[in-house]
This record gives sequence, C-alpha cells and structure tokens, in this order.
Amino acid sequence: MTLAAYESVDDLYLARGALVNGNRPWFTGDVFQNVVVPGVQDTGMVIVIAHPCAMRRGATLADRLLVAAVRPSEPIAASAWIDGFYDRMPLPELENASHFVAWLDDLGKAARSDLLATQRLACLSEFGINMLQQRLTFHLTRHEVPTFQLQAAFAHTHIEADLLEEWTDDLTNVGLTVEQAAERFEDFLRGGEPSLRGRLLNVEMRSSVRQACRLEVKRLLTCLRMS
Amino acid sequence: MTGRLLDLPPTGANVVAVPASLDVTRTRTLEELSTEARDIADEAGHMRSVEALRAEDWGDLHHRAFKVQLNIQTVKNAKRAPVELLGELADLGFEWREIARMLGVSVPALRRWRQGEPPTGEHRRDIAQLVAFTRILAEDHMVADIASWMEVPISTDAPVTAIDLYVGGHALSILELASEHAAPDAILDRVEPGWRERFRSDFEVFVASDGQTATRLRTKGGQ
Repeated sequence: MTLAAYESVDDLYLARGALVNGNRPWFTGDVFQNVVVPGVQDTGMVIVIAHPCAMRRGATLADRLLVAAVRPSEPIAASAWIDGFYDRMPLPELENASHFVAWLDDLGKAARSDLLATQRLACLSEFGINMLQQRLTFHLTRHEVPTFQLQAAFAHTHIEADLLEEWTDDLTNVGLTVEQAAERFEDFLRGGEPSLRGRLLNVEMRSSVRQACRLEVKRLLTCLRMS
Repeated sequence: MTGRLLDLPPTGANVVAVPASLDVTRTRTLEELSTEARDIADEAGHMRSVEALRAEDWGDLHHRAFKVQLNIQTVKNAKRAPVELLGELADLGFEWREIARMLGVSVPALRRWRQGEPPTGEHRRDIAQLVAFTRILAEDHMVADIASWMEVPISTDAPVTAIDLYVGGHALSILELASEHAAPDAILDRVEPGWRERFRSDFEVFVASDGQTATRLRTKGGQ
C-alpha cells in the first residue's frame, strides 16, 4: 500500500493566503473558511472535493458543492501518509505554520452563496488535488489509483482552470466583471469542431488551444480598449 | 582432437579478405583455432572500446558545444525585458504553471513578473536560458511546435515529459532526444531508475458516456 506523499509542503499548494488569485475559478482542492455544512459543522473551514466536472453547468457554479471539513491537527510526518491516516488529507502549514487536515468522513454540501460570502484560504496544486482524489477514493472504496493515472485522466480540467484564470486576469483589467469574462471564455471554448474544450483532451493539441485563447484575449483587449 | 574451420578452399566469388593471423590453408587443432578466435575477439573488443570512446568523445563534444551555444544565446536574451521573454514563451503555447516549474518558482511569483515586477538577476538569467533552450531546439533540431513536443510524454510507457526532464536538470537529455542520439527508454533508464515498475498501471483513461474522462481497470488484452 503506497499512497502518494509530498516531499515539500510547497508541493501541495498552488497558492496560500494573500497569494491566492481571486480570479482563479473555484476548483477541487480550494479551501474556504467560515462555511456552514449541514449535518457536519455550524461553521468552519472546508475543502472542496467535488470533481471539476460536477462543479459547474457551463460558466455557472452549482448551487451546492461537495466539501469536507477541515480542522487543526498535530504535525504529521510527510512519509506517514503513504500507509496511514486513510481518512484524512494533509494540509500542513495551511495558515502560517499551523497544520490542518481535511476529514474525508465529514462530507457534506455547502451552499454556493456561503462560499461566495467568505474567503478562499488556499488552492491545492495539481499534485495536491491528485493526492486528495487518491486518498478520497481509497478511503471510500479501498481502491488505490496511481496519482499519475488521475493526472492523465484529469489534466485537461486543470489546464482549463489555468486558462480561465489567465483570461480573467487580462479581461478584468479592461473593465469586464469576472462573470462576464467567464461567460466569454465558455463561449470561446465551446467553439470549433472539435471544440477547443474537446481538443484539451488531446495532450498534443493543448499548446495550440492555449495559443488560440491568448490570441483571442489579445483581440478582445483591442476591441474593448477601442470601445 | 582435430577439426576444420572451413571445409572448402576459398575460390572465385566467395573469396574474402582473411586476417593474416587466420591461416585457413591448413588443418589446425581446435586449441589453435580457439586461441586465434580469442585473439580476434580481444582485438574486436579493443576496437569496439576505442569506437565507444570515440563516440563518447563526440557525445561529450556535442554536449560542450551545446552548452556554449546555450550560454551565448542566454547572454543575448538576458538583455531583453523579462516580461517580453515570458510573452515569447506564452506565444509558443507553454502553460504558465509549467513555465513556473521550469524556472523553479511559484505560480504567484511568475504572475508578478508577468505584471511587470522585475525578477532577481538569477531568475532573469533562468528566463533567458529557457527561451534560448526552446529556440535552439526549434531552430537547430527542427522541433516543430516546441511547447507541444515538450508537453507530450517522451514514451508511451511513462508520463515523463521533456518539461519534467528540464525541471530535473536534464536539458542535455532533451537535446539527445531532439537530435535522436538517444532512445526515450535509455533516457528514462538514466534519469528515472525503476520507471517501468513505478509507472506500471492496471488502469486506463477512457471517455465515459457523459463525454467526461474517467479511469477504469484495463481489460484483458490491454484494450
């Protein structure tokens, strides 16, 4: 039994605290504070465990998102996660030097409105998300899926989130709201035959999708600045 | 005990140049033949070692020449604005997250540079070097669509990409791949010992009926 373990704390996080980009779309592995989860907690920290495919309908977030409770923890050695603590996901140094874990038994649905009203504390890295999904799958089914296989299956969703973040960064600089930028992105990604979103499934075509998105942003920026 | 190496005397079209040390015109003992064969094997082995050393010399020279070329291009690039160099990498189709990995910095740090905050001198050189590296591969080694080439796993049996090799400090291995002087498996043996075992998986990725990807156990026969 060898579940994935991190070597450095930084391996787990894309960003924490003030470094979290508000323009990054919500994604699996995002940590929020002061969230109500009926049947689990009146308020507290949560981590989103909903799969990216289940979080949105088009550009619109689902009304309720599957989350797990996050609570303070004693420090646990990185190597200990390989063959133990199956009901938890490590979140070391989540806030400054404080350690937390996500409890994979304490699951529930949080309202989108609650999440919108609060602050995002951290975003997991691609590796961190794969580790979370591996641990969740193992805890619920006793089935071990290699993280590199999860990466192969879901890399396109991470890339789409990265592209939307970049797109939103650029377009909100010229007056669009985050929602407007997301709608334009959704329309653009649906375009083409096969669609740009479909092309992201093919690793060989991903760089060309990025090039297309960046060209479109440049075109939109020119149009928006002239209007 | 006696025996013959060749049953027929060499005549006409089947005459071949025979090393002087091999006397085929008389019957010799097996012991003599064995000694001669061992001498020839020793000589052949020696020649192979010499050739291997020459190949190593050429390989080493190739690497050194590449390093010089990379350094010259890097120095040239370093004069340009970092934000311009980062823009060039983006235009090639690289993902920001992967660029950050190749530069050994966090994504938020890279975002600050993209927005105009100046990187330190060391990071400025790293950015210039990455641009130089991609250019050399594209222009001198005819790698088309360099971002895609570096993003695709180098072998169908492991998820290791040229980007991973660059992150691991194996730029010369990427050069060998691009110039077809080394096979992907040989490079993986060198940089990821035990990769066959580590990346062996009973799972496969498939597209489910809802159009989304998923994983499942590989069916018998591999498909």
